[in-house]
Amino acid sequence: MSEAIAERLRLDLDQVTGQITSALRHQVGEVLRRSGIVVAMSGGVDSSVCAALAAAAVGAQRVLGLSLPERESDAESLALAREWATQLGIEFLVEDISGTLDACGCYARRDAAIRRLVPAYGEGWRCKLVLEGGGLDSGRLSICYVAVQPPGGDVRKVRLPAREFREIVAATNFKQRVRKMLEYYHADRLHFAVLGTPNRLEYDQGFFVKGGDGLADVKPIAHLYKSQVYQLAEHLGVPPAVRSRPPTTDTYSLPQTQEEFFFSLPLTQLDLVLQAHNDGRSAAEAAIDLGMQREHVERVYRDIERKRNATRALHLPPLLVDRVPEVEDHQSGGAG
Amino acid sequence: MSEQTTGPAQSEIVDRTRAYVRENFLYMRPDWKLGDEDPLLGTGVIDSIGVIELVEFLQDAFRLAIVEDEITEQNLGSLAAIGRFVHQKCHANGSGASVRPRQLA
Repeated sequence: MSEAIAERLRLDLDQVTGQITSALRHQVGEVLRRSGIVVAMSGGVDSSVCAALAAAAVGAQRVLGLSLPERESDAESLALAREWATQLGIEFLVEDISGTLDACGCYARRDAAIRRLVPAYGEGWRCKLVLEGGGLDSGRLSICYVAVQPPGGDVRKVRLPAREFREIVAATNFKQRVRKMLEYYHADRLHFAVLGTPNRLEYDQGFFVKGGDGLADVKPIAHLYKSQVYQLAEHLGVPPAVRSRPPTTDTYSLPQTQEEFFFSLPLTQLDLVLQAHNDGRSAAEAAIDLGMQREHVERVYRDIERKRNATRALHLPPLLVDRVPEVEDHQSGGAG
Repeated sequence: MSEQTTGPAQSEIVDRTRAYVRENFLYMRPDWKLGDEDPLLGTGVIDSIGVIELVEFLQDAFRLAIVEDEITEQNLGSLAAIGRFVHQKCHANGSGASVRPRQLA
């Protein structure tokens, strides 16, 4: 990373921490009038930073950390979340959601869709979705595959027809939605608010499930680029084991990075290109800053705009036929 | 390339694809201008899953196998591009030339 880019992304960490914790206190205490914060902790850097910010904002005794694993979760997620919650001194609960997902048919519906493509797919097999394009030098458009692995066998990939892709994603989205349901259960019983943990890249590019991880009362790091979240993580004392962990969806039984599923560029690189694009820098300027070819930056700029267009509806509130001004008057909940 | 009478003409490919796109992606937007050279991708007409549906339509309608390396903006980015790509592919491998494309339901 060039010095100029590093400078643009560098945070005044004390100032930013103060700004976020002040905003959280105002939003939770005055706008939402809740007594504390529920945060689901995945053992990743975003939720770890958010838990620390929540504890700093309202006090550790007013924060509930939740781990919501299911049978396909990486065991490391729970261990890292528990360790960090203990260090923060917040209450920490574990709720295994496998039974609820079974009842919803999450696994069965997903597996039925996969079996239409891979009839042998069954007990003990693992799977994940993989997004593949031809890279920056190729004109290939990104398309999705399902990767499957039989017990003791090799991983193989099958190109996904639209119907199966949609069914697999729809079934898998139960995971994020069931988690959110439990977060709100605990928020309701404690009179707490629910904190959402997206960073700017995820929020901007629509990498969330509507009604799942996209649903929250406050989203305190949605304005921060991923590289800035890492700066904040170090500042807040998030353990190196969390900070060095590759960002993962922890959604499929085969390990899956975010870039395999949604972002076709390494996250660190995409983060910088997004920042350059948002900053209004031309592809030529950004290419020099980032040490990339101009054509590659142009392609990533186009991909960013495409994802924004494709996921715009995820950000929309429910659409009404006519305004209800009496409710609109109560809907602004800024940082104060 | 000389036209082969047994394969679909480029204009037929464009017209049938336009009808498919209108029916499946623009069904609530009848006023949307959809010219031959207008971009289909990144303009709100077809998203990334829509690309896969479009490929499935082309494979089915014109009895083609479209491999990953052919799923490009150059080949699928506009109706005209699709017309050129499918026409060339039908006549290059003979599949489209020897088999009448199925009619849309």
